[in-house]
Amino acid sequence: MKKTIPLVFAAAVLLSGCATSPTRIQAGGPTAVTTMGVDLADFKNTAGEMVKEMLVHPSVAGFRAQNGRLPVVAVGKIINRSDINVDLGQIAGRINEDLLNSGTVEILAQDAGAATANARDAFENDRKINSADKADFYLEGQIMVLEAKEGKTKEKNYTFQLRLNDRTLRTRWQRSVDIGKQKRTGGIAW
Amino acid sequence: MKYGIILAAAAVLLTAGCRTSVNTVESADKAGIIQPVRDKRVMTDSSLAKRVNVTAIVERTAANGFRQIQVQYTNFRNSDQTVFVSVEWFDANGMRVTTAGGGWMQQHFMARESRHIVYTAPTPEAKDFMIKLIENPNYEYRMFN
Repeated sequence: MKKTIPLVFAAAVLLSGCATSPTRIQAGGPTAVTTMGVDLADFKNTAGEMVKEMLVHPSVAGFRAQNGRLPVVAVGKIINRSDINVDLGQIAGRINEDLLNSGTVEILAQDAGAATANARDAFENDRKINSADKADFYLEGQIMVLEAKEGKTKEKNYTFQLRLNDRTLRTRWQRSVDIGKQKRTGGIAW
Repeated sequence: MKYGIILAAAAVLLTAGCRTSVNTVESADKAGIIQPVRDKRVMTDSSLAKRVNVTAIVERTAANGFRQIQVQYTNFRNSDQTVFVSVEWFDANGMRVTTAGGGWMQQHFMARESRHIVYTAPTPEAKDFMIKLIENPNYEYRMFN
Protein backbone atom coordinates (compact mmCIF):
# COMPACT_ATOMS: atom_id res chain seq x y z
CA MET A 1 0.00 0.00 0.00
CA LYS A 2 2.83 2.33 0.94
CA LYS A 3 4.43 1.75 -2.45
CA THR A 4 1.16 2.18 -4.35
CA ILE A 5 0.47 5.75 -3.14
CA PRO A 6 3.74 7.26 -4.48
CA LEU A 7 3.26 5.39 -7.75
CA VAL A 8 -0.27 6.72 -8.19
CA PHE A 9 0.96 10.22 -7.30
CA ALA A 10 3.81 9.96 -9.81
CA ALA A 11 1.42 8.74 -12.51
CA ALA A 12 -0.94 11.63 -11.81
CA VAL A 13 1.92 14.13 -12.08
CA LEU A 14 3.11 12.57 -15.34
CA LEU A 15 -0.38 12.54 -16.83
CA SER A 16 -1.07 16.13 -15.84
CA GLY A 17 2.18 17.12 -17.50
CA CYS A 18 0.98 15.63 -20.78
CA ALA A 19 -2.44 17.25 -20.68
CA THR A 20 -2.92 20.38 -22.75
CA SER A 21 -6.03 22.47 -22.42
CA PRO A 22 -6.99 25.29 -24.75
CA THR A 23 -6.52 28.76 -23.34
CA ARG A 24 -7.93 32.10 -24.36
CA ILE A 25 -5.38 34.53 -25.78
CA GLN A 26 -5.45 38.11 -26.94
CA ALA A 27 -5.77 37.89 -30.72
CA GLY A 28 -2.64 39.11 -32.45
CA GLY A 29 -0.87 39.59 -29.12
CA PRO A 30 2.50 38.27 -27.97
CA THR A 31 1.13 34.79 -27.27
CA ALA A 32 -0.40 34.38 -30.73
CA VAL A 33 1.20 31.92 -33.11
CA THR A 34 3.81 33.54 -35.34
CA THR A 35 4.39 31.68 -38.55
CA MET A 36 6.94 32.10 -41.29
CA GLY A 37 4.19 33.53 -43.45
CA VAL A 38 2.40 36.74 -42.67
CA ASP A 39 -0.71 36.37 -40.59
CA LEU A 40 -4.03 38.07 -41.01
CA ALA A 41 -3.37 40.06 -37.83
CA ASP A 42 -0.26 41.58 -39.44
CA PHE A 43 -2.28 43.00 -42.30
CA LYS A 44 -5.23 43.93 -40.11
CA ASN A 45 -3.04 46.02 -37.79
CA THR A 46 -1.03 47.47 -40.65
CA ALA A 47 -4.18 48.41 -42.57
CA GLY A 48 -5.56 50.12 -39.46
CA GLU A 49 -2.48 52.33 -39.11
CA MET A 50 -2.33 53.09 -42.85
CA VAL A 51 -6.00 54.09 -43.01
CA LYS A 52 -5.55 56.52 -40.12
CA GLU A 53 -2.58 58.07 -41.92
CA MET A 54 -4.71 58.43 -45.04
CA LEU A 55 -7.44 60.27 -43.13
CA VAL A 56 -5.06 63.06 -42.14
CA HIS A 57 -3.63 63.51 -45.63
CA PRO A 58 -4.48 67.04 -46.88
CA SER A 59 -6.51 65.73 -49.82
CA VAL A 60 -8.90 64.00 -47.40
CA ALA A 61 -8.50 66.22 -44.35
CA GLY A 62 -9.13 69.41 -46.33
CA PHE A 63 -11.96 68.04 -48.49
CA ARG A 64 -14.82 69.17 -46.27
CA ALA A 65 -13.48 72.71 -45.99
CA GLN A 66 -13.23 72.94 -49.78
CA ASN A 67 -16.47 71.18 -50.75
CA GLY A 68 -18.74 71.64 -47.78
CA ARG A 69 -19.40 67.92 -47.39
CA LEU A 70 -17.63 64.74 -46.37
CA PRO A 71 -15.59 62.96 -49.04
CA VAL A 72 -17.12 59.77 -50.41
CA VAL A 73 -14.68 56.86 -50.67
CA ALA A 74 -15.16 53.71 -52.70
CA VAL A 75 -13.11 50.90 -51.25
CA GLY A 76 -11.91 48.80 -54.16
CA LYS A 77 -9.94 45.62 -54.47
CA ILE A 78 -6.87 44.56 -52.58
CA ILE A 79 -4.95 42.43 -55.02
CA ASN A 80 -2.89 39.61 -53.59
CA ARG A 81 0.31 39.19 -55.63
CA SER A 82 2.03 37.16 -52.95
CA ASP A 83 2.20 33.47 -52.09
CA ILE A 84 0.03 33.71 -49.02
CA ASN A 85 -3.60 32.83 -48.70
CA VAL A 86 -5.28 35.49 -46.59
CA ASP A 87 -8.92 36.43 -46.42
CA LEU A 88 -8.85 39.78 -48.20
CA GLY A 89 -12.47 40.34 -47.30
CA GLN A 90 -11.47 40.52 -43.65
CA ILE A 91 -8.80 43.13 -44.35
CA ALA A 92 -11.22 45.17 -46.48
CA GLY A 93 -13.83 44.85 -43.77
CA ARG A 94 -11.43 46.29 -41.18
CA ILE A 95 -10.54 49.13 -43.53
CA ASN A 96 -14.23 49.90 -44.07
CA GLU A 97 -14.86 49.81 -40.35
CA ASP A 98 -12.03 52.19 -39.49
CA LEU A 99 -12.99 54.58 -42.29
CA LEU A 100 -16.63 54.59 -41.32
CA ASN A 101 -16.07 54.92 -37.58
CA SER A 102 -13.73 57.87 -38.11
CA GLY A 103 -16.79 59.94 -39.01
CA THR A 104 -14.76 61.92 -41.53
CA VAL A 105 -15.58 60.03 -44.76
CA GLU A 106 -18.55 58.27 -46.29
CA ILE A 107 -18.14 54.75 -47.65
CA LEU A 108 -19.70 53.19 -50.72
CA ALA A 109 -18.28 49.71 -51.16
CA GLN A 110 -19.18 46.88 -48.82
CA ASP A 111 -16.58 44.26 -49.65
CA ALA A 112 -13.39 45.21 -51.44
CA GLY A 113 -12.35 41.58 -51.65
CA ALA A 114 -15.35 40.46 -53.64
CA ALA A 115 -14.28 39.36 -57.10
CA THR A 116 -17.51 40.54 -58.67
CA ALA A 117 -17.27 44.08 -57.34
CA ASN A 118 -15.61 45.75 -60.30
CA ALA A 119 -15.72 49.08 -58.59
CA ARG A 120 -12.60 50.51 -60.17
CA ASP A 121 -14.01 50.08 -63.64
CA ALA A 122 -17.17 51.86 -62.61
CA PHE A 123 -15.18 54.61 -60.91
CA GLU A 124 -12.85 55.25 -63.84
CA ASN A 125 -15.37 54.94 -66.64
CA ASP A 126 -18.32 56.41 -64.79
CA ARG A 127 -20.39 53.31 -65.53
CA LYS A 128 -23.55 52.70 -63.60
CA ILE A 129 -22.83 49.06 -62.78
CA ASN A 130 -22.48 49.96 -59.14
CA SER A 131 -22.28 53.01 -56.93
CA ALA A 132 -18.53 53.62 -57.29
CA ASP A 133 -19.12 56.33 -59.89
CA LYS A 134 -20.49 58.52 -57.12
CA ALA A 135 -17.28 58.42 -55.11
CA ASP A 136 -14.74 61.21 -54.74
CA PHE A 137 -11.90 58.82 -54.00
CA TYR A 138 -11.11 55.24 -54.84
CA LEU A 139 -9.01 53.22 -52.39
CA GLU A 140 -7.18 50.16 -53.63
CA GLY A 141 -4.23 48.07 -52.56
CA GLN A 142 -1.99 45.14 -53.17
CA ILE A 143 0.15 42.66 -51.30
CA MET A 144 3.52 41.71 -52.78
CA VAL A 145 6.34 39.44 -51.65
CA LEU A 146 10.11 39.25 -52.06
CA GLU A 147 12.10 36.22 -50.98
CA ALA A 148 15.78 35.87 -50.16
CA LYS A 149 17.83 32.91 -49.00
CA GLU A 150 21.37 32.78 -47.64
CA GLY A 151 22.58 29.38 -46.52
CA LYS A 152 20.16 28.12 -43.91
CA THR A 153 18.51 31.50 -43.44
CA LYS A 154 15.35 32.23 -45.34
CA GLU A 155 13.72 35.65 -45.45
CA LYS A 156 10.39 36.83 -46.77
CA ASN A 157 9.47 40.48 -47.14
CA TYR A 158 5.83 41.26 -47.71
CA THR A 159 4.81 44.71 -48.91
CA PHE A 160 1.31 45.95 -48.18
CA GLN A 161 0.49 48.96 -50.31
CA LEU A 162 -2.59 51.17 -50.31
CA ARG A 163 -3.37 53.92 -52.85
CA LEU A 164 -6.02 56.62 -52.93
CA ASN A 165 -7.00 57.93 -56.36
CA ASP A 166 -9.27 60.88 -57.03
CA ARG A 167 -11.80 61.40 -59.80
CA THR A 168 -9.17 62.89 -62.10
CA LEU A 169 -7.38 59.51 -61.84
CA ARG A 170 -4.49 61.03 -59.98
CA THR A 171 -3.07 59.20 -57.01
CA ARG A 172 -3.40 61.53 -54.02
CA TRP A 173 -1.95 59.30 -51.34
CA GLN A 174 0.08 56.10 -51.31
CA ARG A 175 1.59 54.16 -48.44
CA SER A 176 3.64 50.97 -48.36
CA VAL A 177 4.55 49.01 -45.26
CA ASP A 178 7.04 46.14 -45.38
CA ILE A 179 6.67 43.19 -43.08
CA GLY A 180 9.78 41.03 -42.97
CA LYS A 181 10.18 37.57 -41.51
CA GLN A 182 13.38 35.63 -41.18
CA LYS A 183 13.88 32.00 -40.26
CA ARG A 184 17.03 29.98 -39.70
CA THR A 185 16.54 26.31 -40.34
CA GLY A 186 18.22 23.66 -38.23
CA GLY A 187 19.49 20.67 -40.20
CA ILE A 188 18.21 21.14 -43.69
CA ALA A 189 17.78 24.41 -45.51
CA TRP A 190 14.52 24.93 -47.37
CA MET B 1 39.73 24.80 -15.35
CA LYS B 2 42.09 27.59 -16.42
CA TYR B 3 41.64 26.70 -20.08
CA GLY B 4 37.88 26.69 -19.57
CA ILE B 5 37.87 30.24 -18.23
CA ILE B 6 40.12 31.46 -21.05
CA LEU B 7 37.91 29.78 -23.67
CA ALA B 8 34.77 31.25 -22.13
CA ALA B 9 36.32 34.74 -22.08
CA ALA B 10 37.42 34.35 -25.71
CA ALA B 11 33.90 33.27 -26.68
CA VAL B 12 32.39 36.32 -24.97
CA LEU B 13 34.87 38.64 -26.72
CA LEU B 14 34.19 37.04 -30.10
CA THR B 15 30.45 37.33 -29.65
CA ALA B 16 30.72 40.94 -28.53
CA GLY B 17 32.85 41.71 -31.57
CA CYS B 18 30.05 40.54 -33.87
CA ARG B 19 27.53 43.00 -32.48
CA THR B 20 26.73 46.13 -34.43
CA SER B 21 24.92 49.12 -33.09
CA VAL B 22 23.40 52.22 -34.66
CA ASN B 23 25.31 55.52 -34.87
CA THR B 24 23.30 58.67 -35.51
CA VAL B 25 23.94 62.23 -36.64
CA GLU B 26 21.24 64.91 -36.48
CA SER B 27 20.82 68.66 -36.79
CA ALA B 28 21.87 70.41 -33.59
CA ASP B 29 19.84 73.54 -34.29
CA LYS B 30 16.29 72.40 -34.93
CA ALA B 31 14.33 74.29 -37.57
CA GLY B 32 10.98 72.92 -36.45
CA ILE B 33 9.03 73.94 -33.39
CA ILE B 34 8.14 70.74 -31.60
CA GLN B 35 5.35 70.26 -29.10
CA PRO B 36 6.60 67.77 -26.52
CA VAL B 37 3.99 65.79 -24.57
CA ARG B 38 4.36 65.25 -20.84
CA ASP B 39 3.83 61.63 -19.91
CA LYS B 40 2.92 59.51 -16.89
CA ARG B 41 4.51 56.06 -16.62
CA VAL B 42 3.66 52.81 -14.87
CA MET B 43 6.54 50.32 -15.17
CA THR B 44 5.69 46.75 -14.23
CA ASP B 45 8.53 45.14 -16.21
CA SER B 46 11.70 46.92 -15.15
CA SER B 47 13.80 44.60 -17.30
CA LEU B 48 11.92 45.70 -20.42
CA ALA B 49 12.09 49.36 -19.36
CA LYS B 50 15.87 49.09 -19.22
CA ARG B 51 16.05 47.56 -22.68
CA VAL B 52 13.48 49.43 -24.79
CA ASN B 53 11.51 52.44 -23.67
CA VAL B 54 9.75 55.58 -24.84
CA THR B 55 12.18 58.50 -24.72
CA ALA B 56 10.13 61.31 -26.27
CA ILE B 57 6.63 62.08 -27.51
CA VAL B 58 5.69 65.03 -29.71
CA GLU B 59 2.29 65.87 -31.17
CA ARG B 60 0.38 67.78 -33.81
CA THR B 61 -3.22 68.12 -34.90
CA ALA B 62 -4.27 67.56 -38.52
CA ALA B 63 -6.58 69.93 -40.43
CA ASN B 64 -9.62 67.74 -39.73
CA GLY B 65 -8.89 67.48 -36.01
CA PHE B 66 -7.11 64.14 -35.83
CA ARG B 67 -4.44 64.13 -33.14
CA GLN B 68 -1.11 62.61 -34.15
CA ILE B 69 1.67 61.65 -31.81
CA GLN B 70 5.23 60.75 -32.72
CA VAL B 71 6.80 58.39 -30.24
CA GLN B 72 10.54 57.98 -29.98
CA TYR B 73 11.57 54.51 -28.85
CA THR B 74 15.14 53.81 -27.80
CA ASN B 75 16.88 50.47 -27.53
CA PHE B 76 19.39 50.90 -24.68
CA ARG B 77 21.07 47.55 -25.25
CA ASN B 78 23.93 46.48 -27.51
CA SER B 79 21.77 43.78 -29.05
CA ASP B 80 18.65 43.86 -31.22
CA GLN B 81 15.36 43.93 -29.34
CA THR B 82 11.83 43.09 -30.41
CA VAL B 83 8.80 44.30 -28.49
CA PHE B 84 5.06 44.42 -28.96
CA VAL B 85 3.53 47.90 -28.89
CA SER B 86 -0.11 48.90 -28.65
CA VAL B 87 -1.68 52.36 -28.52
CA GLU B 88 -5.13 52.93 -27.04
CA TRP B 89 -7.04 56.16 -27.61
CA PHE B 90 -9.59 57.89 -25.37
CA ASP B 91 -12.14 60.64 -25.94
CA ALA B 92 -12.64 63.80 -23.88
CA ASN B 93 -14.66 61.82 -21.31
CA GLY B 94 -11.90 59.26 -20.87
CA MET B 95 -13.83 56.58 -22.76
CA ARG B 96 -11.80 54.31 -24.99
CA VAL B 97 -12.24 54.80 -28.74
CA THR B 98 -12.15 51.38 -30.38
CA THR B 99 -10.64 50.64 -33.75
CA ALA B 100 -10.90 47.67 -36.08
CA GLY B 101 -7.16 47.58 -36.76
CA GLY B 102 -4.16 48.81 -34.83
CA GLY B 103 -3.78 46.08 -32.21
CA TRP B 104 -0.44 44.82 -30.90
CA MET B 105 2.27 45.66 -33.40
CA GLN B 106 5.64 43.96 -33.29
CA GLN B 107 8.58 46.34 -33.56
CA HIS B 108 12.20 45.40 -34.07
CA PHE B 109 14.90 47.78 -32.86
CA MET B 110 18.54 47.43 -33.78
CA ALA B 111 21.20 47.77 -31.11
CA ARG B 112 21.24 51.28 -29.57
CA GLU B 113 18.70 52.43 -32.14
CA SER B 114 16.30 55.31 -31.57
CA ARG B 115 13.27 55.21 -33.85
CA HIS B 116 10.28 57.49 -34.28
CA ILE B 117 6.86 56.01 -35.00
CA VAL B 118 3.80 58.13 -35.76
CA TYR B 119 0.38 57.11 -34.47
CA THR B 120 -2.82 58.78 -35.58
CA ALA B 121 -5.97 58.93 -33.50
CA PRO B 122 -8.83 56.89 -34.98
CA THR B 123 -11.31 59.79 -34.78
CA PRO B 124 -11.06 63.56 -34.27
CA GLU B 125 -12.72 63.02 -30.87
CA ALA B 126 -9.89 60.79 -29.62
CA LYS B 127 -7.60 63.10 -27.67
CA ASP B 128 -5.74 61.08 -25.04
CA PHE B 129 -3.62 57.99 -25.49
CA MET B 130 -1.93 55.15 -23.65
CA ILE B 131 1.10 53.37 -25.07
CA LYS B 132 1.65 49.77 -23.96
CA LEU B 133 4.88 47.85 -24.36
CA ILE B 134 5.49 44.17 -23.74
CA GLU B 135 8.49 42.04 -24.53
CA ASN B 136 8.34 39.47 -27.26
CA PRO B 137 10.21 36.19 -27.39
CA ASN B 138 9.94 35.96 -31.19
CA TYR B 139 12.82 38.00 -32.55
CA GLU B 140 12.61 36.79 -36.12
CA TYR B 141 9.95 39.24 -37.22
CA ARG B 142 10.53 42.84 -38.27
CA MET B 143 8.25 45.60 -39.39
CA PHE B 144 9.58 48.67 -41.16
CA ASN B 145 7.48 51.80 -40.97
